[in-house]
Amino acid sequence: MTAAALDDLGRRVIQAVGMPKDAWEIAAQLEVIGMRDSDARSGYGVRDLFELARAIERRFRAGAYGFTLEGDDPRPHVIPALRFVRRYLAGIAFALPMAMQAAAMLLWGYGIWGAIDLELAQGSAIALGFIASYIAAGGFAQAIVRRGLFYIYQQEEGLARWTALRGFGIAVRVTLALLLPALLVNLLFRILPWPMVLTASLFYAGLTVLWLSWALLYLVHRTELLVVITACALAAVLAAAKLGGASPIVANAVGVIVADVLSFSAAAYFLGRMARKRGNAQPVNPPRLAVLIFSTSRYFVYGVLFNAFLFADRFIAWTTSVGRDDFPPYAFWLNVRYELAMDLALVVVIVMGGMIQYAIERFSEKLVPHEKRTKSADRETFAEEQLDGHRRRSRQLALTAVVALALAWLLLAALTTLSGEPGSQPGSQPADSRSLQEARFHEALTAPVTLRVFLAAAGAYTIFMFAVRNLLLLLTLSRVEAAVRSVAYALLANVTVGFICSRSIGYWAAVLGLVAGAIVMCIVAARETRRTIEELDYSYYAAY
Amino acid sequence: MTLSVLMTTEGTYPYAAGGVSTWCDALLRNTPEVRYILLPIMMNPHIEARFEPPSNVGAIVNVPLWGIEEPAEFAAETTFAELYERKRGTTDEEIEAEFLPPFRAFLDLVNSGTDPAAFGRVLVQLEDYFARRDYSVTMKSRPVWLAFVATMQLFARRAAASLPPDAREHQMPSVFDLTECLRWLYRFLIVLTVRVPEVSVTHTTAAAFCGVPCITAKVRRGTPMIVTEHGVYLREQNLFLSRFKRLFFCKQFLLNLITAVVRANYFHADVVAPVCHYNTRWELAHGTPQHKVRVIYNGVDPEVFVAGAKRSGPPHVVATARIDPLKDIETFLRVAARVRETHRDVRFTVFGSVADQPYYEKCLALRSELGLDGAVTMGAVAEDVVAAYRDADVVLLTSISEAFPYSVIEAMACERAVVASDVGGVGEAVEECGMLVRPRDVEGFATAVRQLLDDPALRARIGRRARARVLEEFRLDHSIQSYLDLYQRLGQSHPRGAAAQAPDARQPAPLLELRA
Repeated sequence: MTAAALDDLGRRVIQAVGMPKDAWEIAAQLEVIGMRDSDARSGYGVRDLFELARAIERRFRAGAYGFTLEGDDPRPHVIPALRFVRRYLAGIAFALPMAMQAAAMLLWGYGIWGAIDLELAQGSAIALGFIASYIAAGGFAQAIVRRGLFYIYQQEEGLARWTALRGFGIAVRVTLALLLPALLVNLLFRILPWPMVLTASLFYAGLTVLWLSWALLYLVHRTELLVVITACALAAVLAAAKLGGASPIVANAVGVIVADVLSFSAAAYFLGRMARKRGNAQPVNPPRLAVLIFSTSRYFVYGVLFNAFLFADRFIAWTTSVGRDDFPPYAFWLNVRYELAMDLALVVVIVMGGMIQYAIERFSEKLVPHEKRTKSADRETFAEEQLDGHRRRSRQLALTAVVALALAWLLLAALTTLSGEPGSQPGSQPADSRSLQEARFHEALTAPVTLRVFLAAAGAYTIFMFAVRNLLLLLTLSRVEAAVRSVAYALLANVTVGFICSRSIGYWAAVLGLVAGAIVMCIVAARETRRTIEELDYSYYAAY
Repeated sequence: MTLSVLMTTEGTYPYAAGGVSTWCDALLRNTPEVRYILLPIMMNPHIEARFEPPSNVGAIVNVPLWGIEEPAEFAAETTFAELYERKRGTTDEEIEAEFLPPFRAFLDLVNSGTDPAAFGRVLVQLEDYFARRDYSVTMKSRPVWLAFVATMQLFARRAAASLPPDAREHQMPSVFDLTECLRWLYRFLIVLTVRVPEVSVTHTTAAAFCGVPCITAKVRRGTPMIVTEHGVYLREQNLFLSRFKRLFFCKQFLLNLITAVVRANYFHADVVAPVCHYNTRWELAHGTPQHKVRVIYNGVDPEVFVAGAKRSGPPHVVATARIDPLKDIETFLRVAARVRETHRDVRFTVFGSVADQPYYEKCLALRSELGLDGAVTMGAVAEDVVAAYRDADVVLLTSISEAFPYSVIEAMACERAVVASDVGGVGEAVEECGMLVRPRDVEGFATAVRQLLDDPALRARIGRRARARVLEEFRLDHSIQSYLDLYQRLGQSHPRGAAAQAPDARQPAPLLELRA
């Protein structure tokens, strides 16, 4: 065997394998390039291929051959500003329909599930249906999305579709079944009059289907359709009311039905298209129901608690008569001023939501390259750098919060000014025939209680959004227990403080529960997040 | 006494087509006197079965490695309450006290690649642990991650010392390397959560992870174990992971893990029964004692694979091979191009499914580049494989890695002239009844194909000799009888139930699919 011949062969093998693990890997390569034991004997004077491989390995370890390892795939070229805008819009996808409805209410007096001219009893019934549907659908929506995304990542789109639709079907049946005990309780205790209960039930059913359909649209990455569907449903409401002469409650019902049909049809279409894309539309051996329940139960609990947190203060405020001058006739009675203040404060959520989405996506896409660059011996430095990044993102979010608060305040000021000018209110008549409704709107905007609730809610939502950023980060790393803990404590604080304050100070003080809950959520989620980032190497592994 | 056999497969029967599945189905069907428990390790639980196992398969214990969040999802007989209790009972304290000692030993044995006997014992300890504690909670726990990091860093520092300076950096793992490695381990060790009932004999169809339940049965109860190797798993994994150039540490870890598992299979097997002598080179080199090795060739049914006249038409060269880099379809295409330089009317067909989509696309591009779009058909499975052989003038196999391919002996049984690469056990099958060429030798393949196309008498002569050789050496009934003899001999040496008194506190096996 000549050294030159061996090295020629060695270089050929090393070129094929990069850095060889050992002689066995080299031997396998020698076989596939056509070498046989007889060739090893005749050409290189060794007993067999294994001995030849060991000779090459020795030369490699002596540094005789250079080698190259492939680098990472080139990063796709992206324009940072466009990326920011795209993600920001994705972040506010679920808030935009609410904003559109608020705008429609102000401009034309109608939303999809609300109208300026609604009787308060009907408005209260819709509000009750809305809150109940939001909480009831929240757990199912989380579970459907979680399991669906799991299968999409596994490239099992047929299964994703199957589980999503199965989850949807179960969710609809269970949430509708929940109506039965509610109706029974009302039958026994006569809490609300039956027309109100019927209206609440119908809107509960319609809105539950809507939230679940929107979860399906989120699953197929079609959240931009929410804006289109909201616009269509609003158009249907306005057409029914203005052209068809329908009463506000009927127009609202039309709007919800249109939104339901469009949302579910679009979701079913895109789920089907997704499933057919890879030719695996029909799932094989789909998971048992127990598996679905088992694997998504924590996300279900999270969804229920989170949505309950969002509306607990309203429910508490509207179930007391303490401090109310609208003399609620029933156990649950909508308060327009409270609702108006909360809606205006939502500007904070919308503005900050986009920034949070951007921050979370950047965190996710930077994590793996950072892990690849960091030797495991430098894990502590890795954690410190990640914590620095987290603090930097917190500062960015704080800046966004300042902008959001300013925008919310400007909006309140602008509406107050506009509503004070004759002839500028929603659905207004000429200035000389200013309606009672318009006067009420201006009065509601300028009422001290509205300002009080608005300021508290804006503050609470600001703190809450910091918590949401951390919750999303925890969920990204599959730390769902930590997220559940944060929301559970926060809900407890929200309900406890809200209940005590609303029953001792006045109904409006239920918003203090939201403030307390947001603070608790922020503290607990921040602590959990810090702990998670401090051991991010482990957290990322366990997120598998 | 009825013989009961645990048959384990990996990525093959009954969920995939191919040589191993064909062999497995033939063995099960033709040994009705044996009661089988089938344990297929599968990529995910949502794969459609390609074979309907015969009625003597009493139970199928599916073991999906991917496509599930945790193995408990498919533990059909574990109730929600049991699962919950087990999760609650799996705390960091228990993990540190009960799991980490065998886990560290496991990692040390993987990294060192020595002592397959100790490796078998550790597998049993881990299996016992997972019978008591929750798999997912354990494997995703902080103590396990920290133990893994510490052990692998220590290993990396030691291994780096023997490397050239420019290679040392790649030996030291990144955070991502360790994350990937432990995530893979999470998947591969799922096989330790499986519990199977006691049987007379275990039979693994590869010296791979599917052999783990056989190894633990051997260590625990002394159940005789047979390893059948079609391809050489270790060699194939070395080839596969050589493509994995980017993350050296991950490749090294996986190959160390696979090597440890393979050696444990060989060590614990009572009989290692490769399908050709060629395979024994790797088996012996990895510690299999010569006396354990017994070659049992694959066989075909000569009543099914019979000669027949070719339909009229232009000359036709056929390959029956899945579209996979190991089959070297690129060389097939280059050979086609060379042959068509002198024989313009020759058609070429590759019958076989697409196993590697990117590779298939690469082959399609090469076909176009070589101007063969109208001359070469590929990517379709033959509806009638006998008809496919009969329609061929020459059967061409350009693989760079083979064991003892069915495609060769089936073609030989159909009296077709075979040109094949001289890899694995192909030479043992063909001997003088076909033409052997060095792998990737385009010119050599083209010359052999041209020679056969030009000489019908030579083709016919080679074809007749080939069938005679099949009738003598590679009959299905001979092959089946050899396995049955093995089962009976080993089963008699270990009557089922004799070891039932052996200490085993574990629960009865949860079987996913019980059959009548």
